Amino acid sequence: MRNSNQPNNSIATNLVRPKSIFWLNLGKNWYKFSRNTLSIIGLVIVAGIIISAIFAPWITPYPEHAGPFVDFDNTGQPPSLQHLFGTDNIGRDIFSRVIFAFRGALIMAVLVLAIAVPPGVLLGLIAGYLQNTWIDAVIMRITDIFLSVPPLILALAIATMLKPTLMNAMIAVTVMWWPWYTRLVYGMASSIRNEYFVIAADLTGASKFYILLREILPNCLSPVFTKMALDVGWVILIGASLSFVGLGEQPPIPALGQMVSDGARYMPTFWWMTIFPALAIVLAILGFNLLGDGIRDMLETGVE
Amino acid sequence: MKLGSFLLKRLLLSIFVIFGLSIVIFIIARVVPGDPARMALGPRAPEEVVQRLRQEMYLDKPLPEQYFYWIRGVLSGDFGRSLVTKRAVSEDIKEYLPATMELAIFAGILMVIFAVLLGTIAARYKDTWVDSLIRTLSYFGVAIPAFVAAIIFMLLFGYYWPILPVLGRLSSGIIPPTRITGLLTFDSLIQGNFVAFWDAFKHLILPSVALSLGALFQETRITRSSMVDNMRKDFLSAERGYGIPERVIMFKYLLKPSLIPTVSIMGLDFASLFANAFLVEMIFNWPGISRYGISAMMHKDLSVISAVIIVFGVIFVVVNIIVDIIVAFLDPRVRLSTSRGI
Amino acid sequence: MKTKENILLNIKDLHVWYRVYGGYLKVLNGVHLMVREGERVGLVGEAGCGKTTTMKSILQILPPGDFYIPRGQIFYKGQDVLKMSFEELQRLRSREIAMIFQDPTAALNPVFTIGNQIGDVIKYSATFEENVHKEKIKTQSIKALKEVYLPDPERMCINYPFQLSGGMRQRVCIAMAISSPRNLILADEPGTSLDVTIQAQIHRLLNELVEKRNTAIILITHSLGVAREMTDRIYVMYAGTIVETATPEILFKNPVHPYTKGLLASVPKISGGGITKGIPGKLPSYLNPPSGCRFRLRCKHEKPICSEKLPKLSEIEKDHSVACYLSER
Repeated sequence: MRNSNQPNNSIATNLVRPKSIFWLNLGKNWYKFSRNTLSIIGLVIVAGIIISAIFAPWITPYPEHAGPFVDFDNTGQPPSLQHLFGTDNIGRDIFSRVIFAFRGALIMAVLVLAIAVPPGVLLGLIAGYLQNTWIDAVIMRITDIFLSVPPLILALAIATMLKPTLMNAMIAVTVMWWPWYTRLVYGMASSIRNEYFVIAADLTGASKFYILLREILPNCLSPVFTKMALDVGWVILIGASLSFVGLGEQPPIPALGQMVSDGARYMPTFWWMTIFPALAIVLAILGFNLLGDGIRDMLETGVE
Repeated sequence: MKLGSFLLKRLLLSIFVIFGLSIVIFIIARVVPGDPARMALGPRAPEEVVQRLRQEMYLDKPLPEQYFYWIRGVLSGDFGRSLVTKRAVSEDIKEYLPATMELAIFAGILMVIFAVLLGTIAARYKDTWVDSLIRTLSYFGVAIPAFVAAIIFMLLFGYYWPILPVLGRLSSGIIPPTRITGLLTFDSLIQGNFVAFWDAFKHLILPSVALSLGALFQETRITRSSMVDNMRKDFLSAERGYGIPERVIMFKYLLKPSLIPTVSIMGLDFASLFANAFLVEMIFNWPGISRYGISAMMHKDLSVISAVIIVFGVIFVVVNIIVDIIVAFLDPRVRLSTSRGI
Repeated sequence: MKTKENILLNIKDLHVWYRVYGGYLKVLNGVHLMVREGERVGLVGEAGCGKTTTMKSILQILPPGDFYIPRGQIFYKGQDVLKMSFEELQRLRSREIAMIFQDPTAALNPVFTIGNQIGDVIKYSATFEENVHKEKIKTQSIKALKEVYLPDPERMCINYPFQLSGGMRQRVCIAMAISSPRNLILADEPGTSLDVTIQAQIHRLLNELVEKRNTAIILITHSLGVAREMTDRIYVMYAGTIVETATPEILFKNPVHPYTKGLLASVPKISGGGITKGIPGKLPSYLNPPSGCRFRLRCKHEKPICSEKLPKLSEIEKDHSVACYLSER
């Protein structure tokens, strides 16, 4: 009989849990998530950012300021009731621009992850399952090469080689993002493939494809989802770093990093031009980090 | 000896990785549209001059041959010439690398000391206000990108409370030490030039803190969670049950196994410091290699870009090997069980 | 069987709860247990019934988390462990009581050598306040390892736990427990995770050590056969309560509690009888335990009073106590 006093830190207790059970256990999962108030705060922040980004044209006070707009009478206004974050050096409302900047940031994050994660995960699965074959060696060495370059540098290198647009910045970031998932999944897949249920599936004649997708993959997914939630924050960070140096969205489309760098020139008198976009970046990263932690608490802990 | 063969394998692998990296960089550099010879000489140079330069730069030869010439140069220390500074790239690197190195080392020391300290304290006082304070701080610390921290420091310490210098490595009027390693603090210390040392040290503080902030708090969290995980393990209960005092348990039996995952991350973070320094270097006007590399990217100064990336790659690989050594030292399973292929 | 009349350990009405989603796991629900000097006590019960939790409560080494002891006392030599100060607890753990864990692999720190770990146990135990020389610690470590019949103790000291087989690791744990004189050893299913021959060796070893030093021992096992051979008194535990206790002869001859009877009937006999019946049903939920007697849902003789109040452990004859309303006539 199974000893329920045994520690639950082995993979074995989380194995073979089809995704449908997530929804069946929603109440319990919600409990695990909400145990930590910080996760709820993260969820609120993220929801706020996403909703305001989606509905930006309708909820911002001055949506036209996110485009080509100048108002030299109103430049450099400190934060007030009409301009929550003040105005910038050519009179645009910073609050509205920040909300619109979130749009670009979120789109970039979603697209980067959508494009980078599946191949990364797939490569990791293949390499992990076929461990100690030449395929594994090749895949992981290529991954190592990409990982050995500090991500920011690679992104910058690629972004500068191409023209500075949002699309190219995204390509740059995507190219350097996938290896992290490969490594993550590789570690899990290579240990799971030795578990009995995988060997059993193999013996009963399941095709390697089937084993990969139906047996190994579901058990690797929790850390992948956690990482994706956390990564949105990091992509936003990298995007802001890129736009800080002028890559990414070009003016007049607002981008958070670019707003920080533009406003830095006018410090300290016109501090709001830099500080609010900077705080917006911090808030976004914070929110996604908290959310990611909550997701990890929800998906990855065993039963106490 | 098993440790030796383990290291040798890693070394060979790393060399392979660096070569692979150089190939990737080379290909990207050559794929970029634009004529390097023309860019070097400017739009008004006559065509024959440009043609001659093209021949000198082997641009008319097939790609593999170009790679060969380039690698040969790299291995003998010749990275070509910078379009921007018009100097040999190796000269530039020699000048700028120590600055970034000083910054990174200082930031790295801060990272390690504070991450272990704060992480251990948070784990020890788990679920008390101390723990909550450290965790909240960590959440914020992680969310503040280096350039935001740098700008805030600029604002606070540059204008409101100017107690710390914010620009450059040394105040004007201070005599710098004679250059031995290029690390200002180190050089001035061993030459007994305490005035310069103190000044250089003060200049280091703000940039290093800004640079290390995010990684520091990330490592704090990892240290804490690693310790908390191990605190639940049976061997801790067993050791406690035998009457071993709490402080021995904390600082010996809990710390060592918990550090193992942390050390790897610290290594990665330290290596990344070099590259991520560029924003901090730009804001604090720190003449480092990161800033140099980024401006090269802006100006499409290909030789510099390739050189800088190779340098970063080498640093990354070296740091990884050192980290592997440390992990092998800490974890006997890694050291002694290579036969099992773990 | 040297038994003196001095009571060493006396657990009274111990309740231990563990907080989880949706409430508390009420793991221990009124445990009574008594051990005299030099006595060998067996604690028998199925997996998950709370035996390990009881042991860990004695030493106060329940894993950090949401454990809560709403009621109960654990008297060791007259003093309540639950009210002890930190120094007194340290003294208890380092000199009086030692625990041998069920899973030796988990109980040994993977990144320190055996010599290091045993050395520290010795260093901080009997020689608590005094400073001990390294050589003395080393000789004592080797002596302890020799007593558990480990081959080549000097080399063992520089080995790491993962380099040893399971049986050796268990012996190391035993060595740590007996490395300095103790009055009580808590042996949690020693040898269960190993194969049967090694398990038998371990049991014999324990027996030998206990007799030699007149140490009391609580031997946890889920095998009645082992308990019969190796103990002076058996406590049968079910779902966090002690349901019956008696000397082995009395228990086997005259079991009263339906659970005990069921356990005995489940043991296959060489004399024949085919496949045993077992006890239908399973352990109740600790989150919402049944009111009153926790066994009643599996019991054929359930009466209305069984669901109202938890039956108390009461003596029905000399050296035989049962917690069941059946025994009250």
